[in-house]
Parts: sequence; structure tokens; C-alpha cells
Amino acid sequence: MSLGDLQRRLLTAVMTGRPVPELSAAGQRVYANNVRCQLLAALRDTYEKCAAWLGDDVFHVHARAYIEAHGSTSWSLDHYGSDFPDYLARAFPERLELSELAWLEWALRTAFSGRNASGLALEELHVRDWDGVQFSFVPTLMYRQLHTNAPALWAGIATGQGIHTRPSDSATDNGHGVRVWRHELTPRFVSMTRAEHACLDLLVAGATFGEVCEWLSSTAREKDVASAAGSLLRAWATDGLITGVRETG
Amino acid sequence: MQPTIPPPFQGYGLGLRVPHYAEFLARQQPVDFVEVISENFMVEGGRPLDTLARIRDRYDVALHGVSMNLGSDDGVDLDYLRRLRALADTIEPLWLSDHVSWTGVGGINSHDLLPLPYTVEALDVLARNVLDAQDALGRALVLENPSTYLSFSDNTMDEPGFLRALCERTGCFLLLDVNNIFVSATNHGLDTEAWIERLPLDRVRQIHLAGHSQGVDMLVDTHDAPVPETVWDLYRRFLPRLGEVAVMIERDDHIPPLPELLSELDRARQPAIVATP
Repeated sequence: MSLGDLQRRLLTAVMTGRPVPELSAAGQRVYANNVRCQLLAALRDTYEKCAAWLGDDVFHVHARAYIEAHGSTSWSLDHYGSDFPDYLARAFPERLELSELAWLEWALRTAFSGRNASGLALEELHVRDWDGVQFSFVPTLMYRQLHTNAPALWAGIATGQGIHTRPSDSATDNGHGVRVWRHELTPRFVSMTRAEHACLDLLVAGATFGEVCEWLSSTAREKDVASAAGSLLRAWATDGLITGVRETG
Repeated sequence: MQPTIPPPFQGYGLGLRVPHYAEFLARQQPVDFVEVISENFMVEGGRPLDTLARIRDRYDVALHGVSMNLGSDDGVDLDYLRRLRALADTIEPLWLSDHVSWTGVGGINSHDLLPLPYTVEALDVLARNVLDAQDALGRALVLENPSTYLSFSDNTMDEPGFLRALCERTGCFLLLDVNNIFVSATNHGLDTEAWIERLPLDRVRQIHLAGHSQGVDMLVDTHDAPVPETVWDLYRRFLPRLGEVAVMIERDDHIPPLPELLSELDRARQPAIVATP
């Protein structure tokens, strides 16, 4: 048997726990156990809040099922588990908070060691023509719509306070979504309104600040546009999200 | 271009793990070097690289990898090697080390150090990969003997002979893990004295000392316990035969308070009394 064939057979054996007959079964059990423990530890580390929310035993069962279906394709264990939020969405269709909590944990993990970039303060944004300006954001920025109060759940688990899951507060728009980024060395998240979500979508796609204001005026009362746009800009600058400006005019 | 040869380094160090970062940064600890897991720092930015840079300001650092996958029939992963080289060029480590093993094939990574048969074909594959890696990294590698839990009936060499041939063909150096020697020798019924006699001792740059556990059927290299007397005894016998080497305590699980590890390291500094219970 060639080395390649041997390695493919042995790898399958240690990943599945079904040993190659001509090799020591006891030895293969040690390797299979090592592999399982490593991948389980990686999932537990990344999805610590999910494990706390689900309970250790239930988390273990689903982590095992995920491992059965998903081999690691990266040299880094930090990359393992990127599909776990989707797995939880399929496994618990009635408990949306689980996949959203998992997404938040994955985003925070990704931001933790993402590319460095310095955010500009508001007074560092030297712009002559605000209508024509485009923004660039820190590379660790991730955001999405949510259907549950997963960010509050995350915080409640982190502080050890009891908290109940509930749908996001869409009536007041405060809990429409969440954005995650890293400020200096610390990953952070805040809740995001529907308007902020839409504005970020536009700016990330290359729209100018003037186009964002136009969109706001189509949804807000005319007199609110300047105030709404200014508030968003201040929040992004304060959070260190804006890394650069480019005037297109 | 010939890879850079890591100069010998005589000293005593610890495997640096997260629970001890703050103490290593708060004050100078009594170690000559630390070893960190390369992959934990092969990231784009953030706290890991910031921490490592501050550690490097105070200590010599060895970069120890677990995913170079040098024994794989897949060949080397050039993206992995580019990232490692960038880290090494920044950190300027004592050396880059990894294992005489493979971790995956066909694009799937087990994240465990899987055993190689000691055959001519496996040596050809491993030597080619080591040469490719050294070329990409610009540095000669330091490679560790693994703990193994199975052996192959078609072996045509023993482990020391395999390691000797690897050094001759690639110019690589060795990281002698004394615990791994004990674990593998016990699991496979080998004579440790004969094992060490056949090794090219002039190629050894570093020593790992660690603990293991008794598994259901065999010893398992768990790094979760103090260095046991059996491993201290081997260390005491082997050390006088080596030249300048860096000696290190390696603990990855059940990590104790730092003073406990420093106390173990003190024992490593005194090989004459190292076997005294």
C-alpha cells in the first residue's frame, strides 16, 4: 500500500472511529480519541456561551454530531466550527436565539485576531464635500439582522445574570441587529437599528455619504435626516470604525 | 539559497501558555527562553500578536508548530509556510520546530500528530517536504520525535535510524522529547538506551520534558502532569551526551501556577540531582 493510501485510510479511521483492520485497534483508538477531544475542545472554546445556554450534555451531543459531519479543513483549530451557527439553526429551528448567539460568538472570535486598523476620530475626518465622501471601515467589522435578543443573552451569560430569550425588539427598532468589531485589542458588539444596518450596507457597497442621506430622507422626516446621519457618523467615529475617507468629487 | 542554520542555544525555558502571559509580562521570570505554539500567533492581528511582540521584547522565543504536516503525502501547504515565515521574520525566533509526523491528507486536518511508517517511501516524502519547507522558510527546521501508539509491520528502519537519515538528507536538527521517547518505548517495548545510542546526538538543539498518562491500553502523551521520575531518569542519562541544548518543560493541560513549573525547571537545571526522588 502506498503512503498516500495508508494515510487516507488511517485518517478516515481516526475521524470515524472505525479502525483499519491490519493496524493496532488500541493504537487507533488513542488517535481517534485525541482527534475528537481536540475538535470538541475547539468548539467548546469558541462557543462557550452556547454551551452554557444549551447545557453541557446537550451541547456535547450536538458538538459530536457536528464533528461527525464536518472535518477540519484548516491548519488552525481557530478556524474550526465556522458552520456551527448554521448547524444549530437546522438542529433547533424553533430556537433561533441559539444560532444567533453562535453567530455572535464566531464574529467576536474572528474579530479577536483580525487585521489591525486604526479608527479615525470625528475631528480627524478632514472632509470638504460631505456629499461626495466614501468611508472605509475596520476590517473586523461584521454585522447582521437578528430575530432574537441574542446580544443581551450573551451579556447575561457572561455576567452570570439570569436572562430569558425573547424576540428582538423590532417594534422600537432598537434590537434590529448587531454589529461586531474590534476596538484596539478588544472585540466589541452593539445593537444596531434598521437604519444603521441599511446605511452600513450602502457605505460598504461604495455609496457616498450624500447617497446615504438621500436614503435616510426617503425613510425619515425631512428635518430628521441631518440629525440621524450625524448621530450615525458620531457613533461610528467614537467606536473607531472609520479607517479612512475618500472624496469622490 | 541555503537555509539559515539555527545556532546552538544553552538554556532553560518553559512552554508559554495563556494562564501565565500576565506574569511573564509583569516581571522578568527566571527563564532563558520561552516556547510558543506557532499557529496561535499565525493570525492577522489583535491581541495574540501584540502579546507575542511584548514577550519577545523580554525573552528569547522558540516557535513550535503542530500543523506543518511534514509527513503528509499532500506535500507542504505554501500558504501555511508563508504565514509562518512572516511571523518568524518579525519575531526572529531561536528556531522553528515541528514534528516528525503528519496531521492530515486530502485537505482534511486531524489536528493530531499521526505516525509515519519508517519506510524508504515515507522518508522520501518527509525529506522532500522538509526541504520544501526549509526553502520556503529560509531556515533549517528542528524536528521532534513524536509519541506513537501504533507501529507498522512494513517498517524497514527503526525510529532513530529514520531520524538520522532525515537529518542527513535535509540538514534539519532534532528536538528530543524525552517523554515521547519513554511513551513510545513503553508502548512498543523498545530499549531506550539503544534508541538514544543510535540517534545523531550532534543534531539535537532542544529537549522537551513533560508528563504523560496511563491510558486504557498504553501510555498517552497528555502533557497534563508533572515530569515523572521515569522521564527525569532518562533525562539524567541522556543530557551528558548532548552538546549545547535548550531544555524546556512543556505543560498543556491542568496547567499549574507558574512557581510550580519554575520549580520543575530548577530541577532540570541540576541534572546531577535530577534523579533524586
